[in-house]
Amino acid sequence: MILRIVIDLFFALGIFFMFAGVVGMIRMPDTFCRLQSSTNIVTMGSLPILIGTAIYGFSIGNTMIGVKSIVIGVFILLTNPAGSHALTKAAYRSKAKMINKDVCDDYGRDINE
Amino acid sequence: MDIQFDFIIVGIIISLLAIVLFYRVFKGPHVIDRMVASDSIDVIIGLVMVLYGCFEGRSLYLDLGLIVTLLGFIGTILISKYMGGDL
Repeated sequence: MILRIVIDLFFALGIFFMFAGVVGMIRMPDTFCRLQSSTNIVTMGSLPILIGTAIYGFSIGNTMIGVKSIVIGVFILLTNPAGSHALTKAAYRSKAKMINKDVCDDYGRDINE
Repeated sequence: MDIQFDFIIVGIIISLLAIVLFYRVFKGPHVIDRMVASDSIDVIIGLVMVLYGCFEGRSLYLDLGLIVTLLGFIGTILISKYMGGDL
């Protein structure tokens, strides 16, 4: 019973962060702000759910569910920052609109030299 | 109220959030907006497959979730390289 409460707490944490990320994806005014909000969905929303399923898999004695959940979590933790970085670079190079023009723009200064 | 009930509830809530993200896929003013929303939907589909594998009690669906997430990552990298002008 205490194990089920722990698993449900992990699920609630994941659903809260995923809901916050979806609200940010709908309401943010800019492409780069939406990129920052999508990282919230993928990393912080999916890792607690995977931890919860790993605890469930180890608790019922089915070891493959736990090990594969941890493998998927490590994979997401490794690949999602790389994908978000590539997307941000592509958004800057294909001239996505920025909501506030007079910001500190170091990357534009670096690639225009 | 079994614990399998929880997996179904969490899967339905996550699927509804993925359906809300389709608004950004259809309306996004730039290509990168659509791509970001598609990537998030892809990860959410992998999570739903993991939850369904826990509901069934067999670990076959977890492999499918891993494959879906991996293919989505490859597609994201490919489209971002194409949009950045490196390809």
